[in-house]
Amino acid sequence: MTCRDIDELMSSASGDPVRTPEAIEHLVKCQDCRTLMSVVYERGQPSAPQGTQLN
Amino acid sequence: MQSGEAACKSAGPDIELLMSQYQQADSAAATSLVELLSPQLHRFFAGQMGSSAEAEDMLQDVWLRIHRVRHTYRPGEPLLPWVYAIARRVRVDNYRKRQRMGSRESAVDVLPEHAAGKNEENNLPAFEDLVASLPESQREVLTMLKVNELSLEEVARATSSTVGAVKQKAHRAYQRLRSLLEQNQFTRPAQKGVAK
Repeated sequence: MTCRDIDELMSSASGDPVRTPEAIEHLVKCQDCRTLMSVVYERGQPSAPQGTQLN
Repeated sequence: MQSGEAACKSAGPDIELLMSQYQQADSAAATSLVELLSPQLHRFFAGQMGSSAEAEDMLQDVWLRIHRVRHTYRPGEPLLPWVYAIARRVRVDNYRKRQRMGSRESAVDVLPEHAAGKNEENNLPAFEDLVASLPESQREVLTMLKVNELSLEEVARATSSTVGAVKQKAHRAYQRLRSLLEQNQFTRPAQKGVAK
């Protein structure tokens, strides 16, 4: 598995894509992908407005 | 991370059915749609514009437009691409309006409300701040994919593009983010623009 394969997984999956042994194996070796995934998947969710704000 | 609205997409209310009911003047269906979709639309705007107040204005605008053109939705078609195509239009129009008002003045108006963020646990830049460094088309695709959690197919429909083109933009965005993170060249822009 390559960094590009990780990109493909990240684009295709709505949740955390690291579910396969191949992806885990790549992430163990690749600091760049680990850092990127930390930024993409460990972010906090911003607050959302209430529906009543539209009234 | 799986957001609540993403879960709604797969196992929650049938938003396409709600839209069809809305077209038939069902006010309860309209209210349900607003409550279901507003959080992710707000993220779509806030994630790219940086200002929560501006995002709320655009959120109101997008629902007004949806109401005006609700007859153009074809029952049975996927709803999210149709909604996001309208949201993109609102964002572009807002950008042009801001340009007309004067970029220098508006730059002050739209300064992000939150401080340049860092992920406190690992000292990495916040996702929203990092994505702000991307070119507009890549930022839009990544926001739809990772903030709004649309599928590749939905992003392709919303942007009048193809799945292959969306994948390519996402790949380039990830490459750029890796490069920024590796070289530690990340700096937060004062204002995020929108491509015309």
